[in-house]
Amino acid sequence: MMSTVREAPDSLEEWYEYALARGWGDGLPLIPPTEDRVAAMVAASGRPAGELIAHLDPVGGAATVEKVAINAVMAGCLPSYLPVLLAAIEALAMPPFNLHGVQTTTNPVGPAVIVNGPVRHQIGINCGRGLLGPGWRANATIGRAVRLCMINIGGAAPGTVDMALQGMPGKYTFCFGEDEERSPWSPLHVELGFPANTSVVTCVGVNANAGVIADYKKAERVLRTVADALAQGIANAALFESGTLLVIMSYGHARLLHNQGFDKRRVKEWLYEHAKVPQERFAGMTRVHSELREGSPVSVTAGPDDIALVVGGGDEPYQITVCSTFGPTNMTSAAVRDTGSSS
Amino acid sequence: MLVTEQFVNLAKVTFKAKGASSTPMIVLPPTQVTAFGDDAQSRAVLQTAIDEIVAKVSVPRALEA
Repeated sequence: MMSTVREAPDSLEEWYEYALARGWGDGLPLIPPTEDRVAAMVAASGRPAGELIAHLDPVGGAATVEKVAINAVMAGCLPSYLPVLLAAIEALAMPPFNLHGVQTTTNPVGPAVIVNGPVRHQIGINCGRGLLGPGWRANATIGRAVRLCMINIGGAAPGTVDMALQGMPGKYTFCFGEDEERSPWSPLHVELGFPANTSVVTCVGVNANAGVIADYKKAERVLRTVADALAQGIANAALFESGTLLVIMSYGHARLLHNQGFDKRRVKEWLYEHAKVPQERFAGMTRVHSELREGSPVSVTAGPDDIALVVGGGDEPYQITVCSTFGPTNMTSAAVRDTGSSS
Repeated sequence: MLVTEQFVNLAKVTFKAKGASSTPMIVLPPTQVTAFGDDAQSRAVLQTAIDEIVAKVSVPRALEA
């Protein structure tokens, strides 16, 4: 083991207090990262413990395989989850994601971690009903481990470095898979240029999710509701006219749109064209691009490609989940590396 | 660097990560003092900051001689 080995209390209760006192966690109980547990986690990745995955802002902490594994253990991950977590960390550190901004802003933003490809089924990531809710170990602990890495390696201590005014529950954990098999459209990672049979993790810097009740018969009425929701939850996105927005649609709504002639591209273009905010909503506020479009409605992001549209959740065409964004942060993706094992 | 007092720790962390820990820092009162105060308060904050900047960038007389 390359990290410092410390003597820590044996009892779980004392260990919990010991970790909290050192600012290591997210406030919830942590699994003690013993040498054995960390070694098993590292071994499952098939990569050297000291391999550097990325430097994490704002402190520029070195996210080695071992450091990430320690946080994975603390979050409750199974060793088989580590390759997905490593890909998430790699994606977070890519410049378009603007990790420094996401980590330190007053805005309530955190990474939504979207998993595509065969690994979803290999490790049991929920892509269906309740995919953002409790009850799914892979979803819950991978998302949590991402946050622990952001705090413990990236140095985003809540309240003093992470300056979010209110924060949001999704900053504890926010990880799910796309229901590729039931989607009528190309999955997110294929849209982004990866082969369909590759496992990929995409990080999107998002605000809390809102469940929007939508029509279940007419495509334009469905999309109108989603566009209005994106325009209502303007947050920073419309101030900057940039950033990736996230829309999670049930199989039922996706099929409805598909059957009425809407491919994924057309859905995104429609949403971009119709999700507009009146200029007067910005009275007295500083807008980055206000001088360019005086009087005309403001778009909530830069273009259709800045809307991440994924299919997931239960089947019914009832709610559609939308997430606005911090603004200067764009989705980034990394392929999950093969562990080299034959299983 | 000008920084409001709520953000001092973040500023220190950020500059340390960039290898610039010794960057001079002028600490301003919390944002709400200037955002919601009157013009006189804002001018006073500004004048204090300018005085501090001048003091930090000025070469001491003794060294100058």
